[in-house]
Amino acid sequence: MKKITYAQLTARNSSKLKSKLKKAVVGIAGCGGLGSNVAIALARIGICKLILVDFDVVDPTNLNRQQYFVEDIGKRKVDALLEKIKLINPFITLETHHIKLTKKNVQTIFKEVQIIVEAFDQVSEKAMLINAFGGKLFEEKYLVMASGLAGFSSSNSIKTKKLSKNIFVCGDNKTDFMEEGVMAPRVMIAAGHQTNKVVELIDKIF
Amino acid sequence: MKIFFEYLGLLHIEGIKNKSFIDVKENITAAELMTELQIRKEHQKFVSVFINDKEKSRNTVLNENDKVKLFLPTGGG
Repeated sequence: MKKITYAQLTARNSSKLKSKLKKAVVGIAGCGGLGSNVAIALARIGICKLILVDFDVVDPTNLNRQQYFVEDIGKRKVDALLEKIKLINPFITLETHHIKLTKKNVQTIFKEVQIIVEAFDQVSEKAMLINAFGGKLFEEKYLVMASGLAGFSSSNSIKTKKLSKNIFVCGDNKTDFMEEGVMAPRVMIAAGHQTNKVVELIDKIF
Repeated sequence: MKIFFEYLGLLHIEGIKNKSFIDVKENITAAELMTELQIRKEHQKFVSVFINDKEKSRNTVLNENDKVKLFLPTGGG
Protein backbone atom coordinates (compact mmCIF):
# COMPACT_ATOMS: atom_id res chain seq x y z
CA MET A 1 0.00 0.00 0.00
CA LYS A 2 1.19 3.51 -0.79
CA LYS A 3 2.19 5.60 2.21
CA ILE A 4 0.87 9.05 3.04
CA THR A 5 1.33 11.39 5.99
CA TYR A 6 -1.37 12.76 8.29
CA ALA A 7 -0.35 16.24 7.12
CA GLN A 8 -1.08 15.24 3.50
CA LEU A 9 -4.46 13.74 4.41
CA THR A 10 -5.56 16.92 6.17
CA ALA A 11 -3.81 19.46 3.91
CA ARG A 12 -7.05 20.79 2.41
CA ASN A 13 -8.93 21.01 5.73
CA SER A 14 -9.94 24.35 7.18
CA SER A 15 -6.94 25.77 9.03
CA LYS A 16 -9.28 26.62 11.94
CA LEU A 17 -9.50 22.93 12.80
CA LYS A 18 -5.74 22.30 12.89
CA SER A 19 -5.06 19.84 15.70
CA LYS A 20 -8.64 19.71 17.00
CA LEU A 21 -9.58 16.64 14.96
CA LYS A 22 -6.70 14.75 16.56
CA LYS A 23 -8.38 15.07 19.95
CA ALA A 24 -11.93 14.17 18.98
CA VAL A 25 -13.59 10.82 19.69
CA VAL A 26 -17.00 10.32 18.07
CA GLY A 27 -19.46 7.47 18.59
CA ILE A 28 -21.48 6.19 15.62
CA ALA A 29 -24.73 4.56 16.79
CA GLY A 30 -25.69 2.43 13.78
CA CYS A 31 -23.55 1.85 10.68
CA GLY A 32 -26.26 1.90 8.01
CA GLY A 33 -27.09 4.68 5.57
CA LEU A 34 -26.40 7.55 7.93
CA GLY A 35 -23.68 5.98 10.07
CA SER A 36 -21.52 4.60 7.25
CA ASN A 37 -21.61 7.95 5.41
CA VAL A 38 -20.86 10.01 8.54
CA ALA A 39 -18.03 7.69 9.61
CA ILE A 40 -16.35 7.81 6.21
CA ALA A 41 -16.66 11.61 5.97
CA LEU A 42 -15.14 12.05 9.45
CA ALA A 43 -12.36 9.60 8.61
CA ARG A 44 -11.56 11.52 5.42
CA ILE A 45 -10.97 14.75 7.31
CA GLY A 46 -8.64 13.06 9.80
CA ILE A 47 -10.62 12.43 12.96
CA CYS A 48 -8.63 10.80 15.77
CA LYS A 49 -10.96 8.02 16.84
CA LEU A 50 -14.36 6.55 15.99
CA ILE A 51 -16.37 4.04 18.00
CA LEU A 52 -18.58 2.12 15.55
CA VAL A 53 -21.59 0.23 16.88
CA ASP A 54 -23.97 -1.95 14.85
CA PHE A 55 -25.54 -5.39 15.39
CA ASP A 56 -26.30 -6.07 11.73
CA VAL A 57 -24.63 -7.63 8.67
CA VAL A 58 -24.49 -6.18 5.15
CA ASP A 59 -27.53 -7.11 3.03
CA PRO A 60 -28.08 -6.54 -0.72
CA THR A 61 -30.87 -4.04 0.08
CA ASN A 62 -28.33 -1.83 1.91
CA LEU A 63 -26.34 -1.03 -1.23
CA ASN A 64 -28.73 1.71 -2.47
CA ARG A 65 -27.53 4.08 0.27
CA GLN A 66 -24.87 2.57 2.50
CA GLN A 67 -21.12 2.67 1.94
CA TYR A 68 -20.71 -1.06 1.28
CA PHE A 69 -19.88 -3.14 -1.79
CA VAL A 70 -21.33 -6.37 -3.20
CA GLU A 71 -18.28 -8.21 -1.80
CA ASP A 72 -19.29 -7.05 1.71
CA ILE A 73 -22.64 -8.88 1.70
CA GLY A 74 -22.84 -11.11 4.75
CA LYS A 75 -20.03 -9.32 6.61
CA ARG A 76 -20.68 -7.57 9.88
CA LYS A 77 -21.24 -3.89 9.06
CA VAL A 78 -18.72 -2.76 11.65
CA ASP A 79 -16.04 -5.01 10.10
CA ALA A 80 -16.78 -3.95 6.51
CA LEU A 81 -16.79 -0.28 7.51
CA LEU A 82 -13.50 -0.65 9.37
CA GLU A 83 -11.91 -2.08 6.21
CA LYS A 84 -13.17 0.85 4.09
CA ILE A 85 -12.07 3.49 6.58
CA LYS A 86 -8.56 2.06 6.93
CA LEU A 87 -8.15 2.33 3.14
CA ILE A 88 -8.90 6.05 3.38
CA ASN A 89 -7.29 7.05 6.68
CA PRO A 90 -4.54 4.80 8.03
CA PHE A 91 -4.01 7.06 11.06
CA ILE A 92 -7.41 6.66 12.65
CA THR A 93 -8.12 4.54 15.73
CA LEU A 94 -11.28 2.46 15.35
CA GLU A 95 -13.15 0.60 18.05
CA THR A 96 -15.97 -1.65 16.86
CA HIS A 97 -18.87 -3.26 18.71
CA HIS A 98 -21.05 -5.85 16.97
CA ILE A 99 -23.88 -5.41 19.43
CA LYS A 100 -27.34 -3.86 19.77
CA LEU A 101 -27.13 -0.58 21.66
CA THR A 102 -29.47 -0.45 24.62
CA LYS A 103 -30.00 1.92 27.51
CA LYS A 104 -27.98 -0.57 29.60
CA ASN A 105 -24.81 -0.54 27.49
CA VAL A 106 -24.81 2.86 25.75
CA GLN A 107 -23.16 4.74 28.58
CA THR A 108 -20.29 2.23 28.86
CA ILE A 109 -19.70 1.89 25.12
CA PHE A 110 -19.69 5.66 24.54
CA LYS A 111 -17.95 6.61 27.81
CA GLU A 112 -14.96 8.09 25.99
CA VAL A 113 -16.75 10.06 23.27
CA GLN A 114 -17.52 13.75 23.22
CA ILE A 115 -20.16 13.43 20.49
CA ILE A 116 -22.63 10.65 19.57
CA VAL A 117 -24.10 10.39 16.07
CA GLU A 118 -27.55 8.78 16.14
CA ALA A 119 -27.79 6.81 12.91
CA PHE A 120 -30.50 4.26 13.62
CA ASP A 121 -33.36 3.13 11.35
CA GLN A 122 -36.04 2.60 13.95
CA VAL A 123 -38.00 5.25 15.85
CA SER A 124 -37.82 3.13 19.03
CA GLU A 125 -33.99 3.11 18.92
CA LYS A 126 -33.79 6.85 18.22
CA ALA A 127 -36.06 7.52 21.20
CA MET A 128 -34.06 5.13 23.39
CA LEU A 129 -30.88 7.08 22.78
CA ILE A 130 -32.39 10.41 23.84
CA ASN A 131 -34.40 9.03 26.72
CA ALA A 132 -31.92 6.49 28.09
CA PHE A 133 -30.83 8.54 31.06
CA GLY A 134 -33.46 11.22 31.36
CA GLY A 135 -31.06 13.58 29.64
CA LYS A 136 -28.13 12.86 31.98
CA LEU A 137 -26.02 11.23 29.25
CA PHE A 138 -26.10 14.49 27.35
CA GLU A 139 -25.18 16.85 30.13
CA GLU A 140 -21.57 16.42 29.10
CA LYS A 141 -21.81 14.89 25.64
CA TYR A 142 -23.46 16.05 22.44
CA LEU A 143 -25.98 14.04 20.42
CA VAL A 144 -26.46 14.64 16.68
CA MET A 145 -29.60 12.86 15.48
CA ALA A 146 -31.44 12.42 12.18
CA SER A 147 -35.18 12.53 11.54
CA GLY A 148 -36.76 12.81 8.07
CA LEU A 149 -34.58 11.75 5.16
CA ALA A 150 -36.86 9.42 3.20
CA GLY A 151 -38.11 9.74 -0.37
CA PHE A 152 -36.86 12.25 -2.92
CA SER A 153 -38.59 15.52 -2.08
CA SER A 154 -36.70 18.82 -1.93
CA SER A 155 -33.11 18.64 -0.73
CA ASN A 156 -33.58 22.07 0.83
CA SER A 157 -36.17 20.82 3.30
CA ILE A 158 -33.40 19.01 5.20
CA LYS A 159 -32.18 21.28 8.02
CA THR A 160 -30.11 21.07 11.18
CA LYS A 161 -32.16 22.09 14.20
CA LYS A 162 -31.23 22.51 17.85
CA LEU A 163 -33.45 20.45 20.16
CA SER A 164 -31.70 21.36 23.40
CA LYS A 165 -28.33 22.65 24.59
CA ASN A 166 -26.61 19.39 23.65
CA ILE A 167 -28.96 17.70 21.17
CA PHE A 168 -29.33 18.49 17.46
CA VAL A 169 -31.51 16.90 14.80
CA CYS A 170 -30.88 16.83 11.04
CA GLY A 171 -33.60 16.14 8.48
CA ASP A 172 -36.98 17.38 7.30
CA ASN A 173 -38.73 15.93 10.39
CA LYS A 174 -41.56 14.70 8.15
CA THR A 175 -40.70 11.92 5.75
CA ASP A 176 -40.70 8.36 7.05
CA PHE A 177 -39.01 5.38 5.39
CA MET A 178 -42.03 3.11 5.79
CA GLU A 179 -44.06 5.36 3.47
CA GLU A 180 -41.53 6.86 1.05
CA GLY A 181 -38.57 4.49 0.88
CA VAL A 182 -35.03 5.50 1.63
CA MET A 183 -32.33 6.21 -0.95
CA ALA A 184 -28.76 7.48 -1.19
CA PRO A 185 -29.35 11.13 -2.18
CA ARG A 186 -31.39 12.35 0.79
CA VAL A 187 -29.69 9.96 3.23
CA MET A 188 -26.33 11.40 2.18
CA ILE A 189 -27.63 14.98 2.53
CA ALA A 190 -28.81 14.24 6.07
CA ALA A 191 -25.54 12.46 6.84
CA GLY A 192 -23.69 15.51 5.49
CA HIS A 193 -25.67 17.72 7.85
CA GLN A 194 -24.84 15.43 10.76
CA THR A 195 -21.14 15.33 9.87
CA ASN A 196 -20.91 19.09 9.52
CA LYS A 197 -22.61 19.60 12.89
CA VAL A 198 -20.04 17.19 14.40
CA VAL A 199 -17.22 19.27 12.91
CA GLU A 200 -18.77 22.49 14.23
CA LEU A 201 -18.98 20.91 17.69
CA ILE A 202 -15.39 19.68 17.54
CA ASP A 203 -14.32 23.24 16.75
CA LYS A 204 -16.38 24.47 19.71
CA ILE A 205 -15.27 21.78 22.22
CA PHE A 206 -11.49 21.92 21.68
CA MET B 1 -51.70 28.65 33.07
CA LYS B 2 -49.90 29.26 29.78
CA ILE B 3 -46.94 27.41 28.33
CA PHE B 4 -45.11 27.93 25.04
CA PHE B 5 -45.62 24.74 23.05
CA GLU B 6 -43.76 23.29 20.08
CA TYR B 7 -43.93 19.87 18.45
CA LEU B 8 -41.61 18.23 15.93
CA GLY B 9 -41.24 15.09 13.88
CA LEU B 10 -44.13 12.71 13.32
CA LEU B 11 -46.46 14.45 15.74
CA HIS B 12 -49.59 15.97 14.23
CA ILE B 13 -51.72 17.69 16.82
CA GLU B 14 -55.16 18.81 15.67
CA GLY B 15 -56.30 22.30 16.60
CA ILE B 16 -53.01 23.46 18.15
CA LYS B 17 -50.87 25.97 16.34
CA ASN B 18 -47.25 24.88 16.46
CA LYS B 19 -44.90 27.22 18.36
CA SER B 20 -47.62 29.07 20.24
CA PHE B 21 -48.79 29.74 23.80
CA ILE B 22 -51.45 27.29 24.96
CA ASP B 23 -53.53 27.05 28.12
CA VAL B 24 -52.98 23.99 30.31
CA LYS B 25 -54.09 22.88 33.78
CA GLU B 26 -52.02 23.85 36.83
CA ASN B 27 -49.54 21.14 37.94
CA ILE B 28 -49.94 19.13 34.75
CA THR B 29 -47.08 16.78 33.86
CA ALA B 30 -45.62 16.37 30.38
CA ALA B 31 -47.14 12.86 30.23
CA GLU B 32 -50.58 14.22 31.13
CA LEU B 33 -50.16 16.95 28.52
CA MET B 34 -49.53 14.28 25.86
CA THR B 35 -52.77 12.53 26.84
CA GLU B 36 -54.69 15.84 26.87
CA LEU B 37 -53.39 16.51 23.36
CA GLN B 38 -54.62 13.06 22.31
CA ILE B 39 -51.19 11.80 21.30
CA ARG B 40 -51.66 8.09 20.74
CA LYS B 41 -50.39 5.85 23.57
CA GLU B 42 -48.21 3.84 21.18
CA HIS B 43 -46.49 7.08 20.13
CA GLN B 44 -46.18 8.55 23.62
CA LYS B 45 -43.48 6.08 24.68
CA PHE B 46 -41.21 7.31 21.84
CA VAL B 47 -41.79 11.03 22.43
CA SER B 48 -38.93 13.02 23.98
CA VAL B 49 -39.75 15.96 26.21
CA PHE B 50 -37.72 19.15 26.28
CA ILE B 51 -38.53 21.83 28.82
CA ASN B 52 -36.73 25.15 28.62
CA ASP B 53 -34.17 23.60 26.24
CA LYS B 54 -33.34 20.65 28.51
CA GLU B 55 -34.35 17.02 27.97
CA LYS B 56 -36.66 16.07 30.84
CA SER B 57 -38.61 13.09 32.15
CA ARG B 58 -42.23 12.89 31.02
CA ASN B 59 -43.23 12.99 34.69
CA THR B 60 -41.92 16.54 35.05
CA VAL B 61 -44.54 19.01 36.28
CA LEU B 62 -44.89 22.01 33.99
CA ASN B 63 -44.74 25.59 35.20
CA GLU B 64 -46.20 28.85 33.91
CA ASN B 65 -44.35 30.12 30.81
CA ASP B 66 -42.28 26.94 30.38
CA LYS B 67 -41.07 26.34 26.84
CA VAL B 68 -42.24 22.77 26.15
CA LYS B 69 -41.11 20.87 23.09
CA LEU B 70 -42.31 17.35 22.16
CA PHE B 71 -40.30 15.39 19.61
CA LEU B 72 -41.22 12.12 17.90
CA PRO B 73 -38.48 11.21 15.40
CA THR B 74 -39.33 9.74 12.01
CA GLY B 75 -37.80 6.43 10.93
CA GLY B 76 -35.06 5.78 8.41
CA GLY B 77 -31.31 5.80 8.36
